[in-house]
Amino acid sequence: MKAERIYQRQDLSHLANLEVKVPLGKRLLHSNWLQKLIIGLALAGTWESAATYIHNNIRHGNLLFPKFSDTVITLGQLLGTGDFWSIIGLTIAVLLACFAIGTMLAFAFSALSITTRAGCNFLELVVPPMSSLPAVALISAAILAFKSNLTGTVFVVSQAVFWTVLAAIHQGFTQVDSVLKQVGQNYGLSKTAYVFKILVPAALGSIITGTRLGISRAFQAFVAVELVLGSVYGDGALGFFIAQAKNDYNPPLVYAGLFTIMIISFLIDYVAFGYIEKKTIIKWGIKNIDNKK
Amino acid sequence: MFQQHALLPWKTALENVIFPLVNATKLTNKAARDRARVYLNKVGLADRLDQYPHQLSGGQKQRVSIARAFAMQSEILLMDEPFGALDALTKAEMQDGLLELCEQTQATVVFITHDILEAIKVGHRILVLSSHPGQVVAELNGLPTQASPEQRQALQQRIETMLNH
Repeated sequence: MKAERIYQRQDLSHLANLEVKVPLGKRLLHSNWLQKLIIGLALAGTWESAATYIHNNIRHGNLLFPKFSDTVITLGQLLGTGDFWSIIGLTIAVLLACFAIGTMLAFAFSALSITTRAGCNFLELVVPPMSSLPAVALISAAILAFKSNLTGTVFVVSQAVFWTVLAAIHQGFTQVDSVLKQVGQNYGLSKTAYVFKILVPAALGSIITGTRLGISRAFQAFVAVELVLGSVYGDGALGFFIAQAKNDYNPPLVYAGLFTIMIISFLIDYVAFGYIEKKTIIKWGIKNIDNKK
Repeated sequence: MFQQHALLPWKTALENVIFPLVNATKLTNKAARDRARVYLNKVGLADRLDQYPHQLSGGQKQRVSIARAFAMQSEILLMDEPFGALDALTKAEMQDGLLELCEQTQATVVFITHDILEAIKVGHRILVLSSHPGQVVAELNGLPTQASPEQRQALQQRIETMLNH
């Protein structure tokens, strides 16, 4: 069928060359990765010159603050040794074990709380005070109770994860859209099916945010425990490594340890959780990706 | 069926229709999948099976919702202003689709609406309810599909007078 044309076409050819050629230099200037690279280099340069100034003008300045270049070189050397990798391995192993314990317990408790009234009251009574207690405040109590650095550390770090994740899941569950809850009830789902097929996916945004916060709190607690108590096990993990480097008056080693912690956190937070988000809440359109200015 | 589409955002169109079939009617996965395809076909979404709700337009979402309701093959379906949030053109399209599905499946639909024209278009039997207290004011015969615009207008005016009373 031929379309009926009543509309008189206007000559729009003058709009044809509205496309503007942006010069290469300007495009580069506005590209995000280049801006980040320049900012990064500027920061490293500032660090390097400040450290050089301190080393040259203050007595024993080299014991106060390392040069950026020395830190990077030290880190490179460390990564070439097997000992350092076993420190990293122990750090990640303890972290993940505590994370798994804390998260699984938090899931069990929040499932109970959403399906039973007593469970809900229990959480409302216990979660606010416990999640506001800094995990590191429990170190002394944990050592009194367990008399072992490893058990004490696992307890302190796991409970940090537990309360954080529990609070997040509980909040996520209570904020699930009532229409989605009705859908679940409409189809007569069992309590377990209701939790896993409706509540968990619907609250996944909060759950991911909570577990992310949980693991970063776990890392904080873990490092703090080792700074206070010493090695968690054997030659110790990264917290103990930093403490020892400080005792040896070796600033580049301290900062190399800090860098390593940052890198591990970055990999967990942005790479691992970023991947999970992309495969779930971003794909489902629950989380919108903000556009940069 | 709800006023909002009430689809699960983490499931595709097809999975959304399958979900209640597997969970509430004890259908096997295979049978549920086949039936879901049939009903999504009927509402004209055969090429949208694998899209997530946020990738569908408002009308398409409500169509998935209709397919999900009819796929249950219950004798009675309850619809609470299902087309209230749609634009006029989409609404008319959905009403036609609904009538077609009703004819095919012979299901009884209890359809709640504030739109008198919609009630006249889709209803075989129209109950007029007053507000405060919500009581049945009148029970009317619907109009046949081939009814003239004048007949529709007359019925509309009749219902309006009842409501303004």
